[in-house]
Amino acid sequence: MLGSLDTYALRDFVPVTPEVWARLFERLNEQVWPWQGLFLLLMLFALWRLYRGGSPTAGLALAACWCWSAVQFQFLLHTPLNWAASLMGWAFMVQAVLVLLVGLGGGWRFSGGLRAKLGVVLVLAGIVVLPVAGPLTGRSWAAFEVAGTAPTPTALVTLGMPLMARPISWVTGVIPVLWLVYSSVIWWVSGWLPGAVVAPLAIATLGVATGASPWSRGGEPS
Amino acid sequence: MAEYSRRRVLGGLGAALAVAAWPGLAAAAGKALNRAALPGGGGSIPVIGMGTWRTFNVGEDPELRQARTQVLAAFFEEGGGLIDSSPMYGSAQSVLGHGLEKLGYPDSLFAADKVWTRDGGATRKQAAESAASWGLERFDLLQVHNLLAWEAHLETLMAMKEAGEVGAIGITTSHGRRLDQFERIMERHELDFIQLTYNIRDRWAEDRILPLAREKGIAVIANRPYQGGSLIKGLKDRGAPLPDWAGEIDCRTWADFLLKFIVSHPAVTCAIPATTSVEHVRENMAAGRGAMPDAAQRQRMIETLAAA
Ligand SMILES: NC(=O)c1ccc[n+]([C@@H]2O[C@H](COP(=O)([O-])OP(=O)(O)OC[C@H]3O[C@@H](n4cnc5c(N)ncnc54)[C@H](OP(=O)(O)O)[C@@H]3O)[C@@H](O)[C@H]2O)c1
Repeated sequence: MLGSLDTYALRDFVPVTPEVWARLFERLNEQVWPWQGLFLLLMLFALWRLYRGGSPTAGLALAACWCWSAVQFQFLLHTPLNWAASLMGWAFMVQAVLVLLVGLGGGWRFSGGLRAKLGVVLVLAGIVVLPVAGPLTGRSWAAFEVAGTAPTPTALVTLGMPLMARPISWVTGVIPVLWLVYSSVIWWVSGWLPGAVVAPLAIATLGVATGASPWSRGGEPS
Repeated sequence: MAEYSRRRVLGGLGAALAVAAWPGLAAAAGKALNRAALPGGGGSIPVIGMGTWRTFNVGEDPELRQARTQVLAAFFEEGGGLIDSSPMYGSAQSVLGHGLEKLGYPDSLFAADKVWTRDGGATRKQAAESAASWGLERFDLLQVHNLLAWEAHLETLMAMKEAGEVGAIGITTSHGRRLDQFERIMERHELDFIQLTYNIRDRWAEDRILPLAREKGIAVIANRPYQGGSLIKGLKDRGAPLPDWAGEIDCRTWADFLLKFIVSHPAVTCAIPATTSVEHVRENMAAGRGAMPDAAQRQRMIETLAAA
């Protein structure tokens, strides 16, 4: 637990208690059960299609996950707690359109190399490491964050995918990064370290992948 | 508290059932808190109330709603009155409504809410939506939250008060923001209440605002009595001991010490600590009983805390 008093200033801007934020993911699983399994499969399917060069279907599967997460998490669960969450829900819908467009435009096409390996790191972080870190560090198994439904793992996988593709399209990275920053701030004030470090680590990984600085474009233009 | 009926749907049977389910409520009268008179002969309210920012924002979660209902029940069992909320606090208003309905809308409730919208023409609409969330017909107090679109809202609130649609009106701020403007509004408008941050560490209101409130006969609600929690949790976590003389002013806990300091200021009507915990709400309410510090003891409290 972070538990630092420095977090109190930041806490003034977070409208929920740590208990409520942690419970939100249990409730998400209760609410969508058993469909999180299907959306995890869709996410894996998107990765497989990317690997096999099937860009449009990869984009379609990923878009479905973003719409699902927008509705199930942002609109149904998060919005009653925070008026700004409905804006986040619409941002997730925009994200769904973006991944669909990039997919249809042939943007989700696998290419190997070091950068792709970093992409795999982000994908594994989203599908395995972050979800498993929860129960291993004291959060309940019932709150297990499943990629394709829970927003943070979905964002991590979505950030990993362009790194595995040529040409890289960064347009699908903006909304996931913004979500990760928001989520990390909430976990920071809520005292769960693995959740708090997700955004800095993801941004650092993107930075390494694109060259010296996270802000330099690197790679081929989209 | 209020001299009019504000229960929307619950009749005598509902209230009786609530008392059967929450027997502690019936005993509440025996645990009377110190009360502060409201200016203008508007009765009096217990000196400790309760806030709901963050703590009551639990959404539809049935488990957490039940837990907050228990906090509310303990608040009323301890003789509580004023509860403060806002449309800004996510689901807090409807969570309150849920709990109040379960408790049969205890008579001591003094319902304080806020208007919080940039749309200066939406005062009545928002107030009606908030009242529906609480399950009330009208509020005892409506405040313009953080002075947002305050001119238009205040004008409508005055008209609403005139028409009997609300009991009292006021304005709020926190963290010492926009104090000059706050003061000007107090000087120029007929307010019943102000709400602002006042605690043993944040005492900027002592210079001008609190004296002005006394002079104009405006009731004062002190928000962030524990600086959002950091003050009391810091003292408790460090295991800081209470001073030897704390017993002179009936202080057994840091909650007593911090809250008695606030409500013993002659201009302050009540403090509104927020909590998610039944144990904490009981501890907070206890601060509203027994002896209160005088001016010299208040000064000693400031010095003690600076050294703690
Ligand atoms: N502009 C405005 O109008 C404005 C601005 C700020 C606040 N407000 C109002 O003022 C209310 C109070 O302010 P606030 O909620 O910001 O801060 P606060 O009441 O100073 O602190 C709340 C925190 O204190 C902790 N706490 C309460 N009683 C405790 C006890 N006995 N022992 C240990 N910890 C305790 C609570 O944690 P636990 O849950 O663990 O007890 C909670 O985290 C708000 O809820 C809101 O209604 C209005």
